[in-house]
Amino acid sequence: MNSGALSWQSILSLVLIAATCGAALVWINEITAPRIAAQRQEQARALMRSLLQPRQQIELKTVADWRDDILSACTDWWLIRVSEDGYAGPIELLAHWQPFDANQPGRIKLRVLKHLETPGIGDFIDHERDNYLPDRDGATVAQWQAADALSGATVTFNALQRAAATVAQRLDSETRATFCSGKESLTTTGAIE
Amino acid sequence: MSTFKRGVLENNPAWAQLLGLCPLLAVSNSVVNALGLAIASGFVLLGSNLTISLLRHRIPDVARLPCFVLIIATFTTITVMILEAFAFALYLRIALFVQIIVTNCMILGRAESFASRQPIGAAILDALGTALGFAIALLTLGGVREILGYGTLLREMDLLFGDAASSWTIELTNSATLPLALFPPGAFLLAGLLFAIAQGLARRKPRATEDPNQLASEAADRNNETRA
Repeated sequence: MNSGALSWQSILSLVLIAATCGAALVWINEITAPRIAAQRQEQARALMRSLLQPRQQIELKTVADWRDDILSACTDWWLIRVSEDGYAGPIELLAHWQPFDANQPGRIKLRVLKHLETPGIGDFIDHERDNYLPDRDGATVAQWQAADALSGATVTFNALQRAAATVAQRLDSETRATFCSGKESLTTTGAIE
Repeated sequence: MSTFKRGVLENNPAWAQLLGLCPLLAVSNSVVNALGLAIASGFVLLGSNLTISLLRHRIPDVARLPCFVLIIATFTTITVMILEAFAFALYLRIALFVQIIVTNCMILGRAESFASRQPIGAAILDALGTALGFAIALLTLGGVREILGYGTLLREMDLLFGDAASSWTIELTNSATLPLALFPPGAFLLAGLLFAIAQGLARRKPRATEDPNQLASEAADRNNETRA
């Protein structure tokens, strides 16, 4: 190795090594990116199917694509993608919102699409590892806000609370009216808390 | 070949040097997880040792550590991308511990103490030996934890080898013998026991050429025989 202070040859060597590393990463990314995107889409689709009932799954096939992170056949279910800041980075969530009637608040199911939370502490939000989120399926926003925080994982828990609130805010009556304009609503409209 | 053998046995990164224990203990709750991490670590170790040895005359001494970390980080990121693309289900389980390979002392240690000072051939042999040694430690611990924790061996191998491997599972017991084995405390206890066994076995047969007392004794015997 070259010893002593950094000479211009050393700096050139460093730049060349960094550029080679960068080029290698770009090349591998170009090869793997389409496959990774396909895997992520399949994961999201499987998650969506697991959240919807059989009838709703049939309706899902009639829906073209996500619009502003919202997907719905304008019936009695809504899927919303939300992202909240967790302890170690953004937590991407898929929320299923089901309004019943005007007198009852809508109920939420949350699942995590991607997270970077600490294993053993904040990864309880991963439904593959822990039943924390499946056990809270059907909770209302009010129930989420009243839930006890988890000691040691407060930041992660707060992110879930914010996600539940965001879902309710995103799906106000105006948004739903805009989203479903031109479509015949098939069911009752639920009240948003 | 002694370079290779040293990495596998005497200088085994896990049980002789106690390096890379964080991913070792965290991921080794089944053979498939352990194998995934072993392959990922081996790839990064081989790639970084090869590259660092190849560039050893070009890397400035004063900036060698950032260079090593840059090279190791590049190989780690490549490994993460390949794992996410081709073994997505396994990636979801062990991704975090593959990402922290970049800070694994075992890899940085081999880069600093060996690859940066040796020719390519020796660096590759060292990487292969160290990777195999780490893999043996991971797979042994993974196998024992899976048997005790799940009562099976080679479960969920389809995560790594595709659907055809789903039938490789060997059912050994009807229920888990020691569920604690799947959790971090169990991992610590079992790793401690396994490392103690490995150390014990290694000390039972010390290499004559490396034991100074034995060398002196053998030399004295030879002198006596000559005189006789």
